[in-house]
Amino acid sequence: MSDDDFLEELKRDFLNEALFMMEQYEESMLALESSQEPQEHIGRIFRVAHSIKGGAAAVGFEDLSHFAHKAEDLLTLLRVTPEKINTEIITLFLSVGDQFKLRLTQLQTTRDASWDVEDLETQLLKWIKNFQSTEASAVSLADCEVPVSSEAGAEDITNYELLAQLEADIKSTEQAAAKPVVEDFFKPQQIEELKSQQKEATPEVVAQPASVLMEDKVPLIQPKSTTGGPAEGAHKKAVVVENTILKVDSLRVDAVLDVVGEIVVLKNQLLHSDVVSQGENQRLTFIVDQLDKSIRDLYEKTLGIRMTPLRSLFTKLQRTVRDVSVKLDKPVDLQLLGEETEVDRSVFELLGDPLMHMARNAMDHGIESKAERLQNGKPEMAKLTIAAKQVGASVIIEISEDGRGIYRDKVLKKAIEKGLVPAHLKPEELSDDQVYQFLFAPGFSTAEKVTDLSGRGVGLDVVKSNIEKAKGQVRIRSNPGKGSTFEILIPLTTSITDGIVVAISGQRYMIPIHSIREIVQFRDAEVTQVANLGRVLKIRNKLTPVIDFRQTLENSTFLDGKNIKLIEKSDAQKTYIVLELSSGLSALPVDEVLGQSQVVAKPLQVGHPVPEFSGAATLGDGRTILILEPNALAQSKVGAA
Amino acid sequence: MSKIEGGRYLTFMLRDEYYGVPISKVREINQITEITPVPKTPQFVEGVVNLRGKILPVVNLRQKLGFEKVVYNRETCIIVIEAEMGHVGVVVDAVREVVDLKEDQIEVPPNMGDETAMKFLSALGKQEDRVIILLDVDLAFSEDEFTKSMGSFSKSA
Repeated sequence: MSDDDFLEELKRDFLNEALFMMEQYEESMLALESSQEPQEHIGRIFRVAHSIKGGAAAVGFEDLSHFAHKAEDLLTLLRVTPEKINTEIITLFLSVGDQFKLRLTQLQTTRDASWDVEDLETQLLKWIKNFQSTEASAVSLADCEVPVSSEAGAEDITNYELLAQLEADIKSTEQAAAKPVVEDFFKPQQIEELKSQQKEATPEVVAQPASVLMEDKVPLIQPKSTTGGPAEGAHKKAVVVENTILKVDSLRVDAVLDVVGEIVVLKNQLLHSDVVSQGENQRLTFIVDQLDKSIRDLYEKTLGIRMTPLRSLFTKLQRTVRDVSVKLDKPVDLQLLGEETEVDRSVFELLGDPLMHMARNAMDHGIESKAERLQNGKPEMAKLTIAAKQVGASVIIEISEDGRGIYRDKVLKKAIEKGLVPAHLKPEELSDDQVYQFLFAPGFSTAEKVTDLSGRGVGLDVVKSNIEKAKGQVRIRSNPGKGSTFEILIPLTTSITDGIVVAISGQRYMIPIHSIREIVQFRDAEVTQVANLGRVLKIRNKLTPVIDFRQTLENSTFLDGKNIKLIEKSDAQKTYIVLELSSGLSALPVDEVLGQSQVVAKPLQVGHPVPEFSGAATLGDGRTILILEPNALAQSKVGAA
Repeated sequence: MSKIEGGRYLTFMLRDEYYGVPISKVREINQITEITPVPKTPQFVEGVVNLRGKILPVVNLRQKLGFEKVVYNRETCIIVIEAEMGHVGVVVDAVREVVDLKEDQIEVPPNMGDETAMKFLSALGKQEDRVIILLDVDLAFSEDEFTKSMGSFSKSA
């Protein structure tokens, strides 16, 4: 993939994502009008504006980023004083939202249409000034005021840098090989020239100067199209954009999966019905046979819809890191590991924003400036590693850098200042992890200045809320002076589970395959009782504790009166599933191994959580099966002892 | 007791008694199928079943109301009810019919002392030849009810 195609892909992704986010924006904006608790909605709106600002800057839509920054400024003030919100402000923000949407839609088809938001910007500034003069005491101005002129200047430089970079990219592509060196990108005829030389890759090259020029109030260059109004732009979109990404609510996919699962079950019943299995009607047998194949295919493809490799997320990260690296003049050696790791689509979507924020955060706050690094005896080139791997039932993504690290005292001081430390806790008794968790509190930011990358204290807040939505955790490890590691741990249980079906005490259960190390056989005589702590197995000279789940089940009341036959115990060899747990290896005795299966795990809804089971699923024959959660199983053994 | 209003009720049998639930709360009626028992759940929870890809908890209403359990037969049904916590399958002896009860046919039940069964009765419906015991679905299948009587893993506990 050439760099141009790559950038184009990123831009497309950003536009799709941003348009998707705008739905949230509008929803919250409208909810704000009638809500008693505006704080939550403002927070959401603010995050959308913040994401658009950061995302747009990363892919080079400077005008969008600039405008979003202005909106964000006002939102920052409103966040502190939500009582100030009135209909006029909501109307203003709705128009702002319309402009965002208009621009995003426009950019999907053409990169050289004009966009005039001067009027709205003036209005935003008017409110910001208004609030700042009246509310100076309530808001820490240093945190939210952005000097407009210097900011714009900074963005111009960035833009120029981006262009310079693009120029380099273009030079490296084959079409550009014969092209004369372009000294000044801002000259219209040269853009025209570029356009004619580059084929599909050109639009964004043209778009760059166009957006800059617009800010400078210089007449726009529009090589081909005349200025397209919003309606025209929208109309064009339908024609021009090919290979669109379909954004589907995962609930819909789940609904389809449910139905497909049911079809599989019905198909199996048909397959095993007397009429078909006796094979008297050849035509029927043939049709059912074909149906069987098609339905299997359908089932597999439907399951596959939800799984996505992290690759595309990683490429986005790569680009972001590169841009930030140039912008902040912090050379970095970026390592991406495990991009083939697959995650559930819902997890994938929730991961995008947090990873982006964390990567920016690492670049902006973690890694020091060149001078500071040299002063501390570190190499000028910083190291940033983003690694993903599947461990048991989870995916772990680590973002580590060799930057300045996090100073516990600094964080603690700020947390106390902001009133985040509960009164009953003694600050000095908090663990490092507890202290670091304050970084994720809304509004927390130790950065001294606000940049358009991070530093408003929303980034990590977004990180945490998104990760928690995916039932994951974020942990921070840090070594002051040497660097930090942010670790995201996200479970896979919401998605498809590949597992082995076993029988224990006459019931069938599924054990997730990723927690299985091996399957072994032992006689009862070979199992050693260790005092009253439990039993152990000696597997290749290593003592492995036995999880007596069977005993636990047979002692429990749940099977009473449920007509379950227990398998007779004999002295024959017993099968043990060796499980890989967070605490090490453990062996789970089972009556029988029945086979392997891939299922869609559903939450087990029985009114209260049962930690021993991560969910339930339906097997091909229509029967429901419980999925064991090996870690909790080992715990429950301890509890019963 | 705000639930006492006229309307259509689905009637079913438990022992020899007629019971009723508002038809608006009934999603569907299924034949009894294989139920997967779940450890650590209250005794009255039979387990879970698959209903077109969804996993539902199944409650044995006899046990829930403190009656003795019986072996399932051809008439045993699972009524899928829309409770606050989601859909719940309810095992009943047999399903009868949908009846239309006018407001004046419904009465607050007299106090009859049996705590377990009485707790979930919202009213009595009177028809010429019989009395229909109307259940308070939201109360009987609230999340609270499940947690309160949560089973344990060990008999001694």
